[in-house]
Amino acid sequence: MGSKKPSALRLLPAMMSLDTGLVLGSGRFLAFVLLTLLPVMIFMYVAGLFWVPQSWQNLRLYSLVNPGIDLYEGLRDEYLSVVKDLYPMYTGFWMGFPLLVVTSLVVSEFLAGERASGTFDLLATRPVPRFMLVLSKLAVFLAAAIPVLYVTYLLTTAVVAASFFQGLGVSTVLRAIWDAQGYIAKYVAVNWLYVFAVSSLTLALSVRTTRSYVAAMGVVGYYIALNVSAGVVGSMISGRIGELVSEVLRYADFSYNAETVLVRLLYGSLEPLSERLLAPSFEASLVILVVVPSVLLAVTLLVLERMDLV
Amino acid sequence: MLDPVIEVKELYKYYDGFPAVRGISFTVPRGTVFGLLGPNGAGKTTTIRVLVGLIKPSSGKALIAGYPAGSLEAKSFIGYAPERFSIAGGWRLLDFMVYTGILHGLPRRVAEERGLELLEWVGLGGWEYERFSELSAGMKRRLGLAQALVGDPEILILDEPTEHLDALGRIELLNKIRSLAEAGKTVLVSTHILAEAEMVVDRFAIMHRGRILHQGTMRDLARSSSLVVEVDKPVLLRNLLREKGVEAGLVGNRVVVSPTEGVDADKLVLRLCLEHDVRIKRLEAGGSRLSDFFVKIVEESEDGEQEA
Repeated sequence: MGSKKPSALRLLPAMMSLDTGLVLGSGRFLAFVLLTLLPVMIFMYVAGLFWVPQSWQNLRLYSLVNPGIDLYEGLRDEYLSVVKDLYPMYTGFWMGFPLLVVTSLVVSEFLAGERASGTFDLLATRPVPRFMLVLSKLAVFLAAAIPVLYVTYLLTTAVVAASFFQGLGVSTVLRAIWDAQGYIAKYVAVNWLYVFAVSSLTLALSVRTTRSYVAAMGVVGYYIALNVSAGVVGSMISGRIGELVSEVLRYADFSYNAETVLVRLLYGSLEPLSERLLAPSFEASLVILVVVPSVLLAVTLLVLERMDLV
Repeated sequence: MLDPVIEVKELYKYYDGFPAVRGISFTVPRGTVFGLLGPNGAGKTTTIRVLVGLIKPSSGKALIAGYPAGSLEAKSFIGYAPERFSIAGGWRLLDFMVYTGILHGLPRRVAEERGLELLEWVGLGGWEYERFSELSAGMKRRLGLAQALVGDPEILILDEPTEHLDALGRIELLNKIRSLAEAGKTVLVSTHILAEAEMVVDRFAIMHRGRILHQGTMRDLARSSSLVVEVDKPVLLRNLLREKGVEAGLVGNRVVVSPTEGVDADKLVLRLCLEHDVRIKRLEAGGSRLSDFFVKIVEESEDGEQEA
């Protein structure tokens, strides 16, 4: 009697193709898309009401002050600097809410949710390693997150471009968006790493529960506890030591490190973060953002492979 | 001796110190239907979960086609339908069949064809594109059997397969199990419904409180035929029979008398009843042999434990 054990990695594309429909068709993924894009829609609406109509006046004023100048070239640097300066909005809002809460809700379904429904335990009796069942869904989600993030930052940049150059015509606005592609790519890359980090943490918390909400809320609770304790420590221990301890605690927050990495990629230096007490380190933050979640994911999958599915 | 495809030797499984399975050993020969019988809590499901690789043994060994249970090689031989078959409600039936087939290494097209065939075979033809949440309990059970077969496994492990099925559905399923065995599959089926086990199993092991109390074949069991007597003083009659060296057990107010070499059981029962003023309400031969045997074995085991 010969074993018909299939090659695990060869199965991944076929598994992902079937998981695509399940992951992208789920209500939680829809919430991920909507909650990520909704603020952009509001931003676009507000810009359409106030900033974009003003671009005509601004351009006229600029051309009066600088007669004969190429308006696009003249304002390009200022426009790009505004695109860069949007980063606190990304790290403060998106990483703090949609990407944290909804990512953890989506990813908690991949293991805890699948276990609760019975699907995971059943499929775990098939001749593939257990980690493949999780990895396939995670890969689908992380791949789908890229276009969602891209559209989010593309539209945000489009609003800024229109606010500057609407008066010069659509082609100039498109040119401005194109010129900001490098920044958009950096925003997408860092936010994607953040989504990956939150996903790894969620899976780690999913291993010992079959309640997906427990895993998801565990991730959110971790972030709240971290930031609250950083604040409490800062206020309880007076002076510089207290501030220093709370700063150290914040390094356990992936978004804090994502901000460091993003700033360095956007500005080429960490100058905008000079107010931090601990000198920010690009290398340390990159390790926390990339290596820590990767190790966490590897350990989680290893534990999953060896644990009893009771 | 038939070639064993499942071998369990001195298997123990503890949950937080509690022994769910205590040193059981059995083998399942190829092409047979093996019944793991016993009441709820006997350790059947724990044994099955070890065999399909969901949990690891605390000690002892479990082999599937010579490979350690839980290894990918062992899993490639198995099709499994759990006791409470359930998947996420959003799965369309055919998609799930295809997914399962892919995990067994089938090309997508082949998995789809096999999925369609099996859904038809279990009576779910026309439901291929419906979602799991729309199925009735009985339909879910039938899907459980279909998905276990999609990888064309040589060994089928079915945990309480007839649960939630109506009488007709049960018979239909039992016939399917029998036909699978006739087609050369090895089937390990766990159940607490002994009358059903009697209809399909070739060999059986009776489990109780984590132990195997008895193993045998239905052929051996058929050689013997028990006597069931309903009386007004069942304990007295049972004790009298035991004094005479005859095996007897109690089921409510019925005494189940096992055949004993050199003893004419019905004559002995009648004589004892007359001598000790025991009134017979009903006396019948045979009945559900496996059930009677099971009761006797379990009762003896409990008596033994109490004495110990």
